[in-house]
Amino acid sequence: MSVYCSQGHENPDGSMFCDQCGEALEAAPVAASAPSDDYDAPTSPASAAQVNTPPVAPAPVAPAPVAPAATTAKLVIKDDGAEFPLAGKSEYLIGREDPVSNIYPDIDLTPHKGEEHGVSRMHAKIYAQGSQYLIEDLNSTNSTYLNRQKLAAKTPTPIKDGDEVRFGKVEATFATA
Amino acid sequence: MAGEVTLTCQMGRPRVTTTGSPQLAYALVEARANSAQAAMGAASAARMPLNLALVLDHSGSMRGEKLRSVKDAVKLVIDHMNANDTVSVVVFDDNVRVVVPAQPVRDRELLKAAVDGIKDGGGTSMSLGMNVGMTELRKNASPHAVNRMILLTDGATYGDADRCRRIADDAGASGIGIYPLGIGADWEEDLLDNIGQRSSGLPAEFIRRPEDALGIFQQQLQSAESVAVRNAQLTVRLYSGVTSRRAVRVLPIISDLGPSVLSDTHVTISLGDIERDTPQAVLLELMVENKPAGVFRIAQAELSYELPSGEREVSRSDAIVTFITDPVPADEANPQVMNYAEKANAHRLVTRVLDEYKSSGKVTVRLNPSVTRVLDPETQRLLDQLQAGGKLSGEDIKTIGSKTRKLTQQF
Repeated sequence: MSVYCSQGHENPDGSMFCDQCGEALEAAPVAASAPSDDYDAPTSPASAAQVNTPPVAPAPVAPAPVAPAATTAKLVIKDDGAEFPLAGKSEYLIGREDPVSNIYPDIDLTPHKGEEHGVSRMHAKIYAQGSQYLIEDLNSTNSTYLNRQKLAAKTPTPIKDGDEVRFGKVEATFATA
Repeated sequence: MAGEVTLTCQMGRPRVTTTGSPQLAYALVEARANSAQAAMGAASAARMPLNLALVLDHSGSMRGEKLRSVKDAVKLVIDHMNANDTVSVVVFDDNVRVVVPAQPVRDRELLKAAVDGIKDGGGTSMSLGMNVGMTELRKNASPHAVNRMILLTDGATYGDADRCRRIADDAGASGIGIYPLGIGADWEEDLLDNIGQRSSGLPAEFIRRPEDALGIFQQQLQSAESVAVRNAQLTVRLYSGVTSRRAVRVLPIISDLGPSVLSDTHVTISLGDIERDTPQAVLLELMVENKPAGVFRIAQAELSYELPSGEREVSRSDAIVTFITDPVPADEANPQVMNYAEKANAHRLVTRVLDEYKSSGKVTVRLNPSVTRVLDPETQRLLDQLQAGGKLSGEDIKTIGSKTRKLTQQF
């Protein structure tokens, strides 16, 4: 049994990333569209692609998303309702802009009381792995909290729709709807 | 007293579905020196004595800024050592000279004056320097000390690469780790990486600019000073129906261990010294035959290491997978293991791109955006340049290599 990336590269069943091009594999959306709807389909022996020839065209199953294109995630700042869409880039740096040290975060919290609320210049990042979004604290001074739980630094943690995130004292909500 | 090192096994997917066919399973084996244990030892965790050989290239190309910075860095190392430590300084071009014969660090000023007297000149025969460095190290090599060679070069060695590799094998077998440092753009990363790995040291560290030498030598010294246990050997025994596909060191830096560590029944890896505050980790890709529903131990990791007292200790940990008949939700994957798997894969693919470029001058490998997103902006820019048919300098290539293997250290 094999899994194929969108380029048709063959990988052993269970692979997380394509050996040939690095694409994230087995990333069939779980929460995004159809929750528990036979997640196993791409690899189950029942799928028609039983013949041992690698498909010429991309496998007919689950068009493994490069980035979770369909779902547009966003971060909403609680205090002032500002919205930051997380679309178009694979990774979002959250922090405070500092031209002196050449730090330009994707999401600059300076105008949202970042400085007085203890946001570090490079505070956290949010990125997608397959259909799953992850948040990682970047060793910030005043920590990142997910649903009031302090995150260990440099430890990617799954984040989902409706989760409450706090950067220092700046509160925000993560939404994928 | 056991428990100086904690060994853990984490699976990329703790639960998998029985699919009726073999599956790839990721296992992250991590060895961490127990800091509580270290603190309980002698007053404020006394460090092990150091037995260092500094083997330095002083060929003509080192002239000027490079040699000056390296001499300053070596003097700084001497300043930080004490009478319990031994040091030797060896310089090589196409000849070799012992500048400081192996001795305890007592009269620092005298030793530093000898270092100041180093002049540039000549070609590069690295094996000569390594050989004499080994002789100096062996005079005081002890199971109770951290025995290391710091090997610095700025260029290609002439015709003795195989001899260098053999010396590295000898060093590994004698519990001496070699830590290669490449300065400038012309050294051979394959050879230096190889020397580091074969000796259970680390792959080469890149000194990009002469002024970086001081910092890098300082790191080397700190790393030697924080050794908690030595000569760590990791053996991962595979249970029936399990085979190994790949092994990659992911901490402290990424390095592909190649097929030589894999066998049908086990994976054997020399981890060398384990330092306090610097865990070592290896990511294994295992192929697991189909199992019925139930809990299975698929492998057992065993780490054997030497305490400062010279005694050997062993820590063990099991790799356990639960097979179920229902589908497993994708979000059950262990994010830490996935993160290492992603970065190890990115490192392997970027290395493939660079190897292709170095041998053919062009690049046909196409990287998925999910690979490039884990890289830093400078590396991304340089790789984009390559994929667009552009050229890279020797320095660019070394910068990419050096940054890519440190992916697991930073964000």
